[in-house]
Amino acid sequence: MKKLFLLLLPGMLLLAGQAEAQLQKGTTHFGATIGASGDGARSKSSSGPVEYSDKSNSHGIAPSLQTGWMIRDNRMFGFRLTSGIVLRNTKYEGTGPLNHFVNNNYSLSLSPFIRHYKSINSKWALFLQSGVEGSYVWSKTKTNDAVEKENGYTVGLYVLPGITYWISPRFAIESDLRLLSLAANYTDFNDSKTFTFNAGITSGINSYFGVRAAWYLQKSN
Amino acid sequence: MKNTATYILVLIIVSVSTAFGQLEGKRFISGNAGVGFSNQNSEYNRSSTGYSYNVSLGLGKFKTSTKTGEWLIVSSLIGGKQNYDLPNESVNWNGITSFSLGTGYAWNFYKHFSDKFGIFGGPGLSLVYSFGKSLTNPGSIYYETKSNQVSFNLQLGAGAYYVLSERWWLTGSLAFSNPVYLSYKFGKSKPFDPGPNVDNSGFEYKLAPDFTFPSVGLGLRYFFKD
Repeated sequence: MKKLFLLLLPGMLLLAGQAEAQLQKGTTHFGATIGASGDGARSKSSSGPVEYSDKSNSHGIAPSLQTGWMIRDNRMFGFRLTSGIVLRNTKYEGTGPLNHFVNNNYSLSLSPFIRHYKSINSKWALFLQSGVEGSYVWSKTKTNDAVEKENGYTVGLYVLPGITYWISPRFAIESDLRLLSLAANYTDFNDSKTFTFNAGITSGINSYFGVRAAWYLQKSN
Repeated sequence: MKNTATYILVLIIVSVSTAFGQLEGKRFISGNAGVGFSNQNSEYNRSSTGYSYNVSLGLGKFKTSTKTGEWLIVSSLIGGKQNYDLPNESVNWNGITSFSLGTGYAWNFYKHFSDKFGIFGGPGLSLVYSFGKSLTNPGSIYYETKSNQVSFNLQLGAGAYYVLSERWWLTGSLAFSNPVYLSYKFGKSKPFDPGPNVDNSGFEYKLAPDFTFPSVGLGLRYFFKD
């Protein structure tokens, strides 16, 4: 019995040491998440003198990837790449000619960031991510045969808290607490310049608490 | 040392098994319900009333002491007496404006903190049919639109329980997430003024790895006799 305890003890110590190692200098981090949503609707008059039909659909997808390196214990430097595509298409046919309206929006954002970790225990850690973000946004609008293209940019600063939970020593689930985030952005798009400051929820597919799959890979010694 | 360690080990195993061991194989029925009534009397309009309910019933079993599988039936209804003043006429509706009925299956994993209290969470699948009646105004014409919708959901839920007695548990759901959602909708719109009827159909999908605000719902669970 005593032997068993003695055998287990170093094992327990090893496990405890290993968990903290994920936040030690030299660990590489990868993260990925994706959101998508869309809808389609169709209306058609079934009888009567005035016939019309109305078809519309929209599709959106927003993948995000990030990578980082532990530059010091509990401190990470990394890059986050976010993109978004929203496609809208509407066709309306009434008594007059066919009306066709297309509106496609695209964005690509790159953000270098610094993350500070505070580990709670071997499974859980809190982090505070602060970064600058630059985005390139472009759109294509088509009203019947008239095509209009726009492009612009957004620059901003943000602070975002979050939680990491390690399912295994190498794999974790992370949640951004968007509810407690702060962001300031300057946008120059579509002939208008906008400055926004957001505390809390920002609109988008992943609202409130976004969830991300994360990998923490230690340097093999 | 050896005896003490053995004794402690035996004590731990015994206490754990007495507290939760008897859960395995136990069957239960669980439910939560909400009802609502409203009444409005206005000096200028006719009175309007409203009523609603939402019910969820589950039939489950502890597969092990920390895992349950549960079949669910969910239903909701909204109805009442409503008045609308349209440009050419006034419309009075009396009856059901929305109704839903669905079924699902949920897996829950438990962490028992003591023999009185614990938490649980897990994924679930559900298929829901809903009917709705509404007044729509897409242009200058007012329509009475009826719709039928079938939706498929993948949900994540979490909750906590408190043991009231040997047979009764009080449960509360604490968080909710709906990462996958698919629906198909079809129906008809009938204009109030002379004009053609309109056939409608549509679909919706969502993949959203996120959590919404914790929604709190209280329910009761009754354990059957073996």
